[in-house]
Amino acid sequence: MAATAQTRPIKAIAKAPKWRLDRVIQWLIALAVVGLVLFPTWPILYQSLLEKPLYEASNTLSLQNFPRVLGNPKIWQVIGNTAVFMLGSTIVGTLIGIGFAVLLIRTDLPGAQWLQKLITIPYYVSALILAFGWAVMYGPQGFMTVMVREWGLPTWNLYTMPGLIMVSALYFMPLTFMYCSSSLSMADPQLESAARIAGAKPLRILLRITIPLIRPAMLYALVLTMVSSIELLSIPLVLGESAQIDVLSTFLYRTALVSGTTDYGTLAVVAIMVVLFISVLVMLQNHLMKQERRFVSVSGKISRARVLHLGWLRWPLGFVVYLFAGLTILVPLGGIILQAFTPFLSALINPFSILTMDNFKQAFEFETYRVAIINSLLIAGVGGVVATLFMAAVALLTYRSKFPMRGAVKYIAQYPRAFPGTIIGLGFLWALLSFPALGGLRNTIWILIIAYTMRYLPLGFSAMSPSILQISDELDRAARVSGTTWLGVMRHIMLPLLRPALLTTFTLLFITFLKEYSVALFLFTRGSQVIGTTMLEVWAQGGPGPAAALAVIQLLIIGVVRWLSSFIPTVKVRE
Amino acid sequence: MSNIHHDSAGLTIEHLSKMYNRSAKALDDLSLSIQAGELVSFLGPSGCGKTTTLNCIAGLEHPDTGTIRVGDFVLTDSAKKLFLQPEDRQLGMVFQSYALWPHMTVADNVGFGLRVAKIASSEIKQRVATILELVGLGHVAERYPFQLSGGQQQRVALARAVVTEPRLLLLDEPLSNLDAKVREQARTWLRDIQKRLGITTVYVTHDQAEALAMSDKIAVMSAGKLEQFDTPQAIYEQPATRFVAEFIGATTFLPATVVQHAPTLSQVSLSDGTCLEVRTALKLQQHQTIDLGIRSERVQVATSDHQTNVIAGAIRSSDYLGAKWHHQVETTIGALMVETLDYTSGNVRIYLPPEALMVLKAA
Ligand SMILES: Nc1ncnc2c1ncn2[C@@H]1O[C@H](COP(=O)(O)OP(=O)(O)OP(=O)(O)O)[C@@H](O)[C@H]1O
Ligand SMILES: [Mg+2]
Repeated sequence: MAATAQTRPIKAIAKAPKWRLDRVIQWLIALAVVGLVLFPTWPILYQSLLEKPLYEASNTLSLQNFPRVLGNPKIWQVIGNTAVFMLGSTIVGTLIGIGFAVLLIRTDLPGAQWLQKLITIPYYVSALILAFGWAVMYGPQGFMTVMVREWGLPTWNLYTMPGLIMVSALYFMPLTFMYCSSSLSMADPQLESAARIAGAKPLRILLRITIPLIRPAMLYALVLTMVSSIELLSIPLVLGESAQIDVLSTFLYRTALVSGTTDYGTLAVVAIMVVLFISVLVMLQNHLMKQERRFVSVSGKISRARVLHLGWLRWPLGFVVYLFAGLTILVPLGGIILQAFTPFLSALINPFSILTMDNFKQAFEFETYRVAIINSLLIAGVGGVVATLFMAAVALLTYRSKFPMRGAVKYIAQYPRAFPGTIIGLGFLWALLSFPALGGLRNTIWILIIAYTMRYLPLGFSAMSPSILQISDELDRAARVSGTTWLGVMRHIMLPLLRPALLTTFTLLFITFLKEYSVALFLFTRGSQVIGTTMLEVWAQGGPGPAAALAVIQLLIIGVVRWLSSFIPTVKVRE
Repeated sequence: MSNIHHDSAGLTIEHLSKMYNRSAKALDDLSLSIQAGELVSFLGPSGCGKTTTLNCIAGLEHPDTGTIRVGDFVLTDSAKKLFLQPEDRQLGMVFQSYALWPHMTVADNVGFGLRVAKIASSEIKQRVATILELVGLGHVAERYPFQLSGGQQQRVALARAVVTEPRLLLLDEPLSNLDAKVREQARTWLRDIQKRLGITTVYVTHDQAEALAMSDKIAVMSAGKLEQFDTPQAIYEQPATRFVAEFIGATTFLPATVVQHAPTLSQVSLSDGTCLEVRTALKLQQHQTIDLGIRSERVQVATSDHQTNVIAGAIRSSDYLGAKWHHQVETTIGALMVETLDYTSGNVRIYLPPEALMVLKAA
């Protein structure tokens, strides 16, 4: 075999080039992250130190906003409400979640698989839709309320603090359930068998071994629920309006957008207080996350060790659990679907005798509704792709480059976790006000895509990270030595290997963007409305029918996307 | 098969230092130079900085100080703030995990560097085929890496590293993932290919037998420092430091004093008065204190022919290893390991041939 291949011409490189495209791109990504996070946050910080609204020319710096807000009894009332709401929904939600986790994973309750699917539904449904469902079924004129009243039984008032807590707790419950059940099914069942052999009774094992085993997961879910409950806008907004129960999120929304006189200073100070408080919780969360890895004892394979036999309680308890899940999950969801197909929903008329498609016709014929649906799909689809690629770039920069400030970029990219949607919306709104040149953005869905990307940067980042970390960095090194630049490695090696992770992250962001509306409430204008903002508007104008139709359309899209995503190959590339 | 012509060049490293954190130096003022076409092994215990050195040569790590040149082509020069990116260095590298890209076929893996260099696809095809033929894997070109055995993967990794005709080949423990049998074959095979290509090669390993068998020269490292840089024979016969002696197989060290120095055989005495003859290239002074390293595989049971270097001892325990017996012997100068072919027990006389004794400068 004659193989006198040509030698590679030696590039005469006297010195390294002054700038490399790699570094330029890395800087651009880093600056984009910093810009994205700073853009909505600085106006709030800045405004808190200004006497007049930040867009006014003659302004003076002062610290007087802080004492003024802290001396305002209305603010303290709102803080008090928020504390009660947060603690209530966190405690109730966590307890229900733990209860379900133990019952489903560690006992022989009948039909556990079905129940598991059922009780995680609220997690995939937007809180706004859930709130509508509860209002339609259990509100003062709700289907169930009226039915019970007709039977001559005492009824309840959903539009109260306990009502808010109940509905929110059920919305948050799947979080605790998912963390605890995965921790429970990973915990080594031999630990429990050992206690059994030592002579302990099942209930004692449950309390002394099983529950302590999942304590880290419980604590983590608890803090996560606390953060989510402070951020939650929809349920207090829909159910707390008539009783005028204001929590921080609704207070921010109403003061900024509804009441005629916007007090910029107060808003800024309240926003900063909320962010600081959530920051503390997030730090606690990070701390717990580290602990959890140390604590959980993983046995490798997932096994169901049903140590607790319910005995004669099995069926009665099963009945109670199914009744509870049915009444709190299926009934509100069924209610919103029925509402979508009827002109009005009432216990006094058999809804199946007045079925109609009118609400859906309206949804597709009315310009406002149609545009909202199209916008939501565009934001979720196009925005989802843009955000996924951006987040992949950020994750690759922080984990797979020698960029000098990659640590700082990673930290900044996580920071939006401390910002509720309402505050992000407010920040973007104020940023646009103070840069009139960017006003053109305001009327497009692009500002929504940008704001959503900022809000969910941490989500996308943490969705991408494990897959990136799984890929051995020798693969990058080998490609570099073979003559590729960093960009080449990303294009030829990392992105192809990350394809499944990119698809999964896209699906996650698609669904999240489709449901998101609290940021949009502050930013949308005629023409850039989305499904969520439109539902809320229509609902406020007293039109539950079209709102329900929009809700059903959103649910359908989510269902289809989730079904499609089950075809994404989860097997990772073999190495 | 005709030789593949190669214009590989020598490698020069000067004053290379690297710190990952303030407390410990991963590399501490490392200097050495390798001739064109040589295979040099970097040998040392885990964490001594072998991979760091290799990565500095490849441009995957940024050294704090030092220069690295291939021929007169400067890769890194900290004084001139010059640092060439890995992709501009035109090197070949084989990684410990082989690092084959799982989403590409064997042919695509091997041809990647050529594609990046924008070489015509017909030429790429031909060169990939040639090199796969050379490593004996022409028939698996269209397979994916996970469909190959460990030994085959290692060959693909080598093919990928040399197909671009790099001026320098870097190998980071390329055989450590193979099981013992395959490893010995691969060792011979690798050395053969390297000689045929005539490519300057830096080979990292922590296996001393591998280093001794394959290398033109060995660089023994410890804690980021170069302990000794020499031919395998010199390393084995004349370890420069106790660390090298220990790493290369000495088990026992004893302090001794020089009684008489001569170019061929010198006399030293141990603390208990035992006199031994040793052979060393070191210039010794009378009364100088030295360390004596004893290589157990060369210690024998004495016969009547042996007059000098004989000490008395008693076997304490014996292990049967199949081909030979391994004895733990208590002697007047301490415990020694002795190997014999037949079973022996009780009191024995031990012969320490001069080749079993290494003279080391006292620490
Ligand atoms: N990225 C890094 N960050 C911090 N310390 C590092 C890093 N890489 C290596 N080190 C440290 O530098 C020292 C040298 O490491 P190196 O990987 O070069 O050792 P090695 O000789 O290749 O070891 P092995 O035989 O285990 O591969 C070690 O103490 C190691 O802990
Ligand atoms: Mg190493």
